[in-house]
Amino acid sequence: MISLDERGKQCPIPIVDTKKAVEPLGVGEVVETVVDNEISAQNLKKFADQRQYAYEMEKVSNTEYRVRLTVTEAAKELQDKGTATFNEQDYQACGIPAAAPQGYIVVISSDSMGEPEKELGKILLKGFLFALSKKEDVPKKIIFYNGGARLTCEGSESLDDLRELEKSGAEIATCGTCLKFQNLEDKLKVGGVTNMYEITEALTGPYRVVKPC
Amino acid sequence: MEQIEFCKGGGCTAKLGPDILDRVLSRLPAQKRDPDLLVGFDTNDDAAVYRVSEDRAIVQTLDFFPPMVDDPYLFGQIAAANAMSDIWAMGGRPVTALNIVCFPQSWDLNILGRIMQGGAEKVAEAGASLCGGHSINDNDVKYGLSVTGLIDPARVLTNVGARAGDRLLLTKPLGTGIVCTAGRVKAADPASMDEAIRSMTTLNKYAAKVLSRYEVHACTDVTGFSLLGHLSEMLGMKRRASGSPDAEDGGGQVAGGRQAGQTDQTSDMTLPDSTGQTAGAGLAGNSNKTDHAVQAGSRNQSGSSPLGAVIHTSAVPHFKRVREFVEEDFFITANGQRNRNHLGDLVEFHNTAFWQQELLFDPQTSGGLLAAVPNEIADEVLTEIKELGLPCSLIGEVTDQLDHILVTA
Repeated sequence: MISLDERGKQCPIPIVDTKKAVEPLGVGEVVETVVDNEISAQNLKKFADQRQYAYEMEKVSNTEYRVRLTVTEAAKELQDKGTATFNEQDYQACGIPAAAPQGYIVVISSDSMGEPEKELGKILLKGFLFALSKKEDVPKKIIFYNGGARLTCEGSESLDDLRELEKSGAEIATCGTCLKFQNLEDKLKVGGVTNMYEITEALTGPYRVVKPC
Repeated sequence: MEQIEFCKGGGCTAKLGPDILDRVLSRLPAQKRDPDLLVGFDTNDDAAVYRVSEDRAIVQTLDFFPPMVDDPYLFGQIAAANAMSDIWAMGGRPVTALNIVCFPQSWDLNILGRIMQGGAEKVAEAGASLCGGHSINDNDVKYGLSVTGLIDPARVLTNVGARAGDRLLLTKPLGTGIVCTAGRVKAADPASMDEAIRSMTTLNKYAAKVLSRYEVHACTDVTGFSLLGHLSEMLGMKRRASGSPDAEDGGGQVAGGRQAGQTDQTSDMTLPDSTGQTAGAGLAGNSNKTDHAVQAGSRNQSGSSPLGAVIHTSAVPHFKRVREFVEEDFFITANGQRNRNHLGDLVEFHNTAFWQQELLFDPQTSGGLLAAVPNEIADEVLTEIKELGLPCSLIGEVTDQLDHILVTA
């Protein structure tokens, strides 16, 4: 077990030190950090929760809180995943193209496909989603925003196709702001709500983006 | 030069936590209310307003803190911008300022000179006169200003008065606490520091000037109690749970705020009793009834129906690398956690990532103005504020459909 005496140190130092100590450890190993106030212990708990370390806290006195973080399988897995991404970025930073990952993301930004016939566009989009649901390689994620948000809501004719896609592993995500703007917040019928950060992440991430409309 | 020692974690991250302050202030002897004292500290407002004649009132405020950046000159600028901000948040204009200085006598006096130069330049930019001050020998550096402003008593802009349907405008990005914390452990890149410094040294004078041309229902500046903390004050929310993390039995929240779906209203949360002990802190929504029990939910100061707000995280302006600083490095502050504990279940998070939660609880130094603006003019006001050059946005709405703050995507 590694012991750290972080009494007298202000946040985030106890967390930064604990993080440094715990990251190289293997499953089952423990870091004990002693801090002198409960706020630091709470901040360590947030760190533990985010990184999935097991957290135990023992209050010895008002100025001594013993926090024990144990490396769990889940924490190690999470860490390894993080490292893998990091390496990929490293390669890219050096100008070495990382192998393009398999898979694609579909973005639906309107309830109509193509111009200028709006009604025709609706029929086409419905057909597209149907065809998509029959494909063997389903998208990683389907993002709906602006007018597209109507397709995941009550009254959409594509709900069954989208449910099938979701069942086959595609994540269905609708922009929360768009739902709110169009008063559709309580009308969402399939998938979850997303935000611009996740959308940006998805669009700039490693997967191919398919945008039929 | 002792640059490393200079910045030990300052700015508004060094403020006493809101819980501690509440407990002390609530025990001060009641004073006879002077009818000319238009705004005192009973409404948690930014500054005091005292009427001196029918059409004139003075606005008074005082702010000082330890350095949050390594450069003494920039620290001086930021401290002054922060101190004067309260005057603009009230709708006033600063006229005089006095320096407040704590400085180790053994240090190079040029450092102090640079601090005061930075402060003086900002006072000049504000159009106010620096006219004295008070300095003491101390182990650590602290600097700030006591500022007096003028205002028309009929045009005082308080932090209460928001109405359902108002949009919430934030005039500066969030994350100064997180970025300065990264800076303190020497982990912030120069671009991130520059971004934060540019925001912190920008006077709220300019945003206030734009706001003064419009009908604004409520305004405050966002500082140490975080966006959510200052917003809760604007909505007149009284926290339900005391959960002071600094109390002996502090039962603070870690995951903090209520999570979606957990809407159990505990109508009998308690306030601290006279011994300062707390009961039924906001950990699991348990509740102990005492004589001090208060009704759940928020009440705006006028006593009318409770107000809540919706904040859209995707719209909240922030410094570029805060996500990384929180998610990767955990550069989080003690006062961010204190703010989280303080607000307890007045905040509900829905679809809000950990870093976004931290951002909304992050103590700000020289933060922007938060204004409740009628919906019809909100976009127009935003367009004008945008021209001032800092990231700013309409981050949410005031609603009477909620009695708490809902943070959503």
